[in-house]
Amino acid sequence: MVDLGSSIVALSAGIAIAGAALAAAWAEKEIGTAAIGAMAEKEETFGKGLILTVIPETIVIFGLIVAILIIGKM
Amino acid sequence: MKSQRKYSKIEKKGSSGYAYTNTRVRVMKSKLLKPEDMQRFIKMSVPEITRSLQEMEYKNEISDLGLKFKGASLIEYALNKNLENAFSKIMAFALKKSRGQIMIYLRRYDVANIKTILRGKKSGASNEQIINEIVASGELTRDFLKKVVEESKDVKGAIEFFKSTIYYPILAKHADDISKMEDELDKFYYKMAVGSSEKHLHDYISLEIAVKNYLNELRSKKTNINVEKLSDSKVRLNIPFDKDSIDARVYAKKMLVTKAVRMVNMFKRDVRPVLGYFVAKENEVSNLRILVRGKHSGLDESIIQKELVV
Repeated sequence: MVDLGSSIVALSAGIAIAGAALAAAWAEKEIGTAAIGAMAEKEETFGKGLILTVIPETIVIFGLIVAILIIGKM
Repeated sequence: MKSQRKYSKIEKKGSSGYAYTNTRVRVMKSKLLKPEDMQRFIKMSVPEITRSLQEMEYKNEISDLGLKFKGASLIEYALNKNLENAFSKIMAFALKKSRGQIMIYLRRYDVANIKTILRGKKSGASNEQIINEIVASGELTRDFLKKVVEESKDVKGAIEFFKSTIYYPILAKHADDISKMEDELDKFYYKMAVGSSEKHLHDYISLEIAVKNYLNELRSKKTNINVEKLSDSKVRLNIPFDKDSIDARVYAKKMLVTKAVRMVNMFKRDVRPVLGYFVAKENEVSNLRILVRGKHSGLDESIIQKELVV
């Protein structure tokens, strides 16, 4: 049986990564649609658009690190 | 197009569509001619300008019309067609919720097309000439306008074709006086646009009305002919009437274009960038028209330069 403390730690780690992932998804949606808009007119913006679209992925890495740190406290 | 249709079905759920539309419009704006291009064109002859435009965004239109027309007429008709194509393209990918506002703006082309057809019929211009002057970006389609031009013999005949449109009462009332009819059509359009537009479009149209009122007043003062106010506007322009009339006219127009360019560059989730693009594109076409007509009639470079709104 898992004790209450461990459950809360696991839940916190989950929230940390879920929050970061949702934020990244929202940011990517905005940047991605804008990048497609730019690409529709100027194909050469593909490279820049792709890089800008994946930049919010770094937020998920922060979330992952925070989650790992939280789990490390268990 | 298929993907766009699919996209437009889901757009109601969020507002990220503005990111797509507005960024695409901003890229389109970046392809417009730069002031330095205009400076280069001023030094060129009409055939040279045609060749340069053919290497730019006007390529398709010039190629399509190149077999039938040449010189200044070719450029002028290509400009009209390009304007129509650019606006149709935006309407195809604009968000459904902003299409209403865009259409309010574009209805000015319905008014302009009606005026073109009636003026053309009155002056005895050929059907082809009238059709090529049309910019069918409003609610009245190109097919309908073409039908009006081809099947009507005179002004009265053409007016009858517009029976199903909101403009018919004005057309029927002033059928004998086209100048008066044109004024009334303009007033009707601006009244309708001010009444039905939302904040951002309303602000722009109010400024536009103030500019037009100012230009009318300027014309009245110069010619001593009384020109009526277009409509009341809350916007007050601070331009003195003692300026040279060309300077004052260009300055007033510059105010509109500056506002438009500012609107294109706004990162907002609304219709402003699209409206800004429309005005900037219209200004480009108007500048090219001034340039080509000026060159064609042998005007001095300095006079053409003075007339351009850059």
